[in-house]
Amino acid sequence: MTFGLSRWGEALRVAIAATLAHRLRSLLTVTGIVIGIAVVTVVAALLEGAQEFINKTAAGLGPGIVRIDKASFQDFVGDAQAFAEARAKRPDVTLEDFRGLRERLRDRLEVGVRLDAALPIGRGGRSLDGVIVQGGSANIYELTTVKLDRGRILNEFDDQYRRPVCLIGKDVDEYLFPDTDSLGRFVKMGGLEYEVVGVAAPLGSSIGASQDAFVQIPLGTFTRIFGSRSRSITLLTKARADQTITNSEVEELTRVAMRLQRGLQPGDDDNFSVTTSKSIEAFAGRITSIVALVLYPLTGIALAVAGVVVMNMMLASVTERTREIGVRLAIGARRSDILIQFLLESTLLTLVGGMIGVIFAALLVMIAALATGFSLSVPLWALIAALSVSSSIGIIFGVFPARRAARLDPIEALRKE
Amino acid sequence: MRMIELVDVSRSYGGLTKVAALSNINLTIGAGERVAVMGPSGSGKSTFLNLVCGLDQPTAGTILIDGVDIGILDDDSRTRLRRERIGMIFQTFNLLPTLTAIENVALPLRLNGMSRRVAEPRAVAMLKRVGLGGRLDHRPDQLSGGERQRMAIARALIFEPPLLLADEPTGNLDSQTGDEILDLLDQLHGELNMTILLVTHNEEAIRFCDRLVRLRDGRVVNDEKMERGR
Ligand SMILES: Nc1ncnc2c1ncn2[C@@H]1O[C@H](COP(=O)(O)OP(=O)(O)OP(=O)(O)O)[C@@H](O)[C@H]1O
Ligand SMILES: [Mg+2]
Repeated sequence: MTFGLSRWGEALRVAIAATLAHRLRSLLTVTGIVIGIAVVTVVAALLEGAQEFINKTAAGLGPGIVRIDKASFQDFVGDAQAFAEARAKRPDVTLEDFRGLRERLRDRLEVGVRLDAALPIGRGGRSLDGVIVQGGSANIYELTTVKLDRGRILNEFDDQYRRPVCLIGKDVDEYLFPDTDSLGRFVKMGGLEYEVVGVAAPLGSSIGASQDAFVQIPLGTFTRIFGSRSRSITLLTKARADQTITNSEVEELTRVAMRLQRGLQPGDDDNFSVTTSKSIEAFAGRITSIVALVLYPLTGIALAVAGVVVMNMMLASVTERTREIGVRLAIGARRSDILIQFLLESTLLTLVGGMIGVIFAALLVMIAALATGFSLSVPLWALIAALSVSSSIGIIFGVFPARRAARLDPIEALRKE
Repeated sequence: MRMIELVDVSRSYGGLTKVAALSNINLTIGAGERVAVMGPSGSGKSTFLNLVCGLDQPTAGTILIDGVDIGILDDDSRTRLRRERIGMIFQTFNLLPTLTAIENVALPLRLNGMSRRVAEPRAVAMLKRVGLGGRLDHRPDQLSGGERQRMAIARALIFEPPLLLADEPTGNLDSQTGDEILDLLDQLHGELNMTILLVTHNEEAIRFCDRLVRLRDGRVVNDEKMERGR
């Protein structure tokens, strides 16, 4: 049997009228749906944001580049204690490791090092805190995503002669040199003056924190001031330009060389972390699936409970409107008309609940985005999923009450007061 | 022309002690006849109407409406027959309280898949015919009993059906309003010439009919032709 458009229209009109006739009751009935949908939608938006952020970080590492440091958090998902232990017990990565690794891999891989320290930096009356001072080997520009805007990069000679020169990030350039060109001028760090020879192109920001607040100085210059002690030290490797080596070979070569450098025996675990952009992405995927694995079933249960509440309300509604159903059947409504009418009503109810939930979620996500500086938004797929899940709940939990309504005996129903 | 034909129709209700609401009814009613159905409470009058309109099925026997055996129709066909060919009015009006007069009267048309644009003007015309032209957008609870019954009559006759079933239509009305309703039915019968089955306790109503069928304990005990407007 076909169902004419105007019959759907009529059923929809009745469903809307019935819902509006009990506004408060309808709203209370769908509260569970609203909350359930809002929670999943917010979490979906947060996961999406986190994934995007992590992938951006991975992009910062660049394809084909392998990073070695003491302990990387991606190796210790879900085990904060092991991570803390590794940070405490593993040997620090040292400049000796750098030199050893460079020696072992010299024919095949480019090996670089970067040391970080935090130091206030000034010029004239101005001073800037929270700037990261980086000491890097001369090949660091091949191994990181820092690009030159103007001037020149730091080179072998700067390193060898420990020259007091620097390459500055965009933030430092703009803050310390608001109305002059910084090239050829001097900045002051730890009582020493450094000539600005280069300015880096902007990297942008992640989590609202700028990545452009840095000053790079030659490795030799850095060790003269800070010694080889450093807040963190990172080794970076990639295939030499004249070599054809796959990314995973680069990773394996680096790992083996580092194990030799550390004197590890075949059965020993690595006492350092190896990271690639691939492993960062895998890590992001793992976090997402762990959260999803816990959260989505929980929300599923919550939504099922919400569906039962809707079903209960619809059953009450069928009882209340028994006489109306009897009248409709008596004057010529098909049983399918009654079925569709009640099914539409429960679906409309949960769909509206889902819409309210999505609107709530969008507001929460907007607030979270403003508060944290993360770029967050409700992804389109989550919106579509939320609306289809909520209307499915209406259909699934509406079937039983709707069938009950459609199967009423009209004579009995008409007798009811 | 036979409008209604009942052949050995029985309707009993189950359980250990079987209650026979109707037993072995044989009755033929011609097109355009106006039949008063009388009898004490519990004699089976409502059961009779429910069987004729197809809301209920007999436990034995055959019912033909306009020559069609409604026992062999499927549920949807029977529903369609009831919607388009049989009008029904009740003692308690059975209007939908949330709908206006127009919407109530247009409802059978809408159930037939007609758009509001087409259905509602027809409803308005029918409401004018029953004297409710000034009450188009009122809901049932804003109207008097007589006006409600007029609305119900308009709904019952919106398809201009050949058969009208009325179960004590004046039962809830004072005698003057009841007479007005009977006059309206009389007038509409003159225009549409439908067959009317009128279940009533009202002696006045009999005057309006040309045949009287008396039921007792589920059997026809009397069936006589009468002079209309005696
Ligand atoms: N669903 C049912 N189950 C059992 N018995 C029923 C049922 N419906 C009707 N009956 C019985 O069938 C008989 C006829 O009932 P019906 O309603 O047709 O009487 P009626 O003539 O319309 O009475 P009234 O004048 O009071 O409306 C009664 O004895 C009634 O108790
Ligand atoms: Mg009765």
